[in-house]
Amino acid sequence: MTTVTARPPRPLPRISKIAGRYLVFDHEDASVLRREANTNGSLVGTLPQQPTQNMFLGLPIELRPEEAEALVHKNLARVVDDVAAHQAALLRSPESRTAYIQSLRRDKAAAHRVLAERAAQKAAVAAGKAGGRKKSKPKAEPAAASNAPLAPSDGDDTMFASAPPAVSSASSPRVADSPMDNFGVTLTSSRDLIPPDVDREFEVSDTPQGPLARYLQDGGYHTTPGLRFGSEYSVYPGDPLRFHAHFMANQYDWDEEIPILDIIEGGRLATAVKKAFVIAGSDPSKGEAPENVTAYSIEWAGM
Amino acid sequence: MAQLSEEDPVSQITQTVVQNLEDQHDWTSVETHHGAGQRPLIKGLPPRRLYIHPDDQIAALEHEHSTGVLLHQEPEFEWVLAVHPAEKWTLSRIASVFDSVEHAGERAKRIVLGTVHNDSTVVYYLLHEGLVKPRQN
Amino acid sequence: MAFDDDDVPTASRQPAAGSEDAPTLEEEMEDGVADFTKLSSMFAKKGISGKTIRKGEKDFESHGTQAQDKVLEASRQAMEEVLSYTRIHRRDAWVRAWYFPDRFAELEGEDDDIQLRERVVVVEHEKGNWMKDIGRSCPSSKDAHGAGRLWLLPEEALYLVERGTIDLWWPNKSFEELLPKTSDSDGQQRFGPDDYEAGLPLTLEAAYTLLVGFEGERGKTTFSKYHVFTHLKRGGFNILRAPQNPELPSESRAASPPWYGISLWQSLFSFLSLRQEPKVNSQGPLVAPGLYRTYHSIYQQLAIIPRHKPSPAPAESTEPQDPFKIFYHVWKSGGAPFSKRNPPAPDFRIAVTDTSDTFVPDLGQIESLLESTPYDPPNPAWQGPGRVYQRLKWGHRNVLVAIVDRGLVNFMRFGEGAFGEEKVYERFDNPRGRYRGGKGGRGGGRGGRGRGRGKGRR
Repeated sequence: MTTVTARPPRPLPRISKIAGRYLVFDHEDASVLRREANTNGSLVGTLPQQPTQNMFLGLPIELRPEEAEALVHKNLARVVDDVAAHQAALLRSPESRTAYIQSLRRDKAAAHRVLAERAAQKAAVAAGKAGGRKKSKPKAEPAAASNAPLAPSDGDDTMFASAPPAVSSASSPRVADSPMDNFGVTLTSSRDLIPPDVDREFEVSDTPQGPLARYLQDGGYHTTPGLRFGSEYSVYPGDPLRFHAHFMANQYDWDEEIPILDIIEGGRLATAVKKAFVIAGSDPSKGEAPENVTAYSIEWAGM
Repeated sequence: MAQLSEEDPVSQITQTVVQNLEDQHDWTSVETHHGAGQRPLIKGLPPRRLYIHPDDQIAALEHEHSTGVLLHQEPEFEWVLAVHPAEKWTLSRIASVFDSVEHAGERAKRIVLGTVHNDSTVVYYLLHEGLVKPRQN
Repeated sequence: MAFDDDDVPTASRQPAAGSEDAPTLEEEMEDGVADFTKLSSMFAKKGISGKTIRKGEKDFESHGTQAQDKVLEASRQAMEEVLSYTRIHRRDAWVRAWYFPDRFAELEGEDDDIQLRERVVVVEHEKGNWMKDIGRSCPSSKDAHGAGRLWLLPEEALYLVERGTIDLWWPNKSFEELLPKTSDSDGQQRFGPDDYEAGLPLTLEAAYTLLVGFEGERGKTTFSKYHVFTHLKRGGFNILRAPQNPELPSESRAASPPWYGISLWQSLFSFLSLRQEPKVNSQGPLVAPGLYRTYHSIYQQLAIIPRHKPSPAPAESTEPQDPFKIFYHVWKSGGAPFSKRNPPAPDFRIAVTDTSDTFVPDLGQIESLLESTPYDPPNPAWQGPGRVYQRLKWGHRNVLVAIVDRGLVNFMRFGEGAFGEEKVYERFDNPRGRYRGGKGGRGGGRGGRGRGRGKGRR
């Protein structure tokens, strides 16, 4: 029902290569990859809202090398040598940092407004004049559809749902400070810090795991690490947020020996968790990956 | 099985699977196909439909629900490959098994892997060509 | 053939009897895909009204229904809202830290007991209660100007940025300008959060590029080591890098109560068995003919295969090699206040491996890893045949190996097992069932102190 109206074209999602790993720091990029490229990756960071638990993690998202490769092949993302990009950005003249400093100021202002509003609301509630209509009604639109650095709009307090308690007059003694000066901000993504022209200086090299990853990506499947099921990938028919995995998948070379016992074990374990065990590989006589990938699905015959 | 001891191991396990299919699982019309240079393949008819795709399972259930009539699923001929757990196979050899079935007629969507343990236990796994979603029994 | 009844792979498809809400095996194994719509309710201050939070009821596949799309959209939006959070540092809780990677780069290893060489971030404002196991103050002998400043290791700094505790800045000015001598500063702020001529607040992404690198890069951690560090910090453990100079075996626990006298009994026992060795006749029979009144004397002669005997001082230990080398010391929370300067013996010693580049260790790797840990035999109170498995499981040394797969951290415990120390036949000579203990006739009461004692000693 919500039709997305024309908006400025977004640069391709940026994958940051740091120390041989492929990471996504920008929450909008993460959304685009999840929604439009069926790639969810693994959240590996500490969630600042709830930093003392291990169940819910935050940005960055880590992609496997072959996932990054599959995205680059399909022109769904770009990989940036992030260390070099940051060295260039940080060693440049301070003048060239204005875009970044502006985004910092913008976020500080937003933070100030939100906190001030919450304080006012709190005061209103305390005074017993709370009006139900004051409740912050406007839900933030999906972050993917937004180009603002802060997805939640003003008045949406989800951004600070678990932030430190709202500022009360007693807790900010430095009345002399300007409001902006009351905040430090740590942005998650370096989108406004590193120059936009660093893209595509860097390409992923073809990884040995590439063909199956590209085959699954092409087929619209989502994947997560298969460690828990003893395979390379858990393969989902849609977003793992909503769906169970259908397959445990391993890639093999076309002439690589596969012990029958491994096939039985994989089929046995997969069937026990309502999945099928998939063995797949590229047939070199049939052209290029991923079109030349052949997969076999194994499940218990029930007899 | 004892009477087969002079034969080669592949024939032995193939024969074991044939007997197991006939005697324990009541398969009929079981015959062994020997392609040139290929592993022997067993073709036979199970007493009931061995495999129903999950989408057809749902359709059958819906049919039963709306009409109250159980949808009769005719059994289909299945191709069975007998293997031993100590064997190692490759994707390329599995592909050639599917190819050899095609030469014998219609290309099969799946083969049944009958694995014979040294104690003559046989376990059966379906090996589908392509990504085939699992059944949700 | 059909599987046995208890062997049907599809058996687990039935939910556990009686409890509709019990997660299935499939759901248990699929964790790691957390449903963010549950995040707020899980941490709501009001409690969760007795209903346990599940990872979310998931579907087999898309039905193409609006209802299903709506639920997925809600999950995605919940996740996106959580991930779009921006870390804000309020002025009264503002802790700025600066990235000065080269201040101690020239320091020599010998002289660097607090690993200053690896410390690349200095804290400007020391506020908050996060410092109990994080950072070390720089002694004046190493840095006259910055004496007393708190310096952070790369993993500590990045973790603090990530959890929103510190505001990490890239300096535009010299250390001396930004951080005047602590004695000079009268508490006044020289540069505020808006003074961008002094430096630049770094993004989380920038902090990763500066603080995470490849194995062996000075002043950087690796992804797998960082993930283990944060996993344990989030779980409430205290964690420090293990000292560079490995612990000496002699430092091993002298904590065994003297009245048990393990080592005495052990040496006596080994002395006895040594005396009996020459009796073995290479032509047989294994058991010399004669009159035997105890099983013990027969089994002793049957024991011709040498078995591993754990020792407080292993004869020849090889240096453990990366990655099977202890990197972190870890302490459980609670108990006495933790001192990062004088920590007690750690609860866990951890080596860090990564699935992308490590295979299962070989025996030699595990042996040298174990021998780099102190001798830690089972609790002497664990007596009797009923506790054989408890003793075996505990082992005589132990170490944890962390296995990291894309940020997912698992731990595997390796113990130095001593099956040769558990002589089952000794029971046969005790018709009344009085067990003489697993260690060459060591007596002693069983039970009593039990498990708690063992934990306390660690």
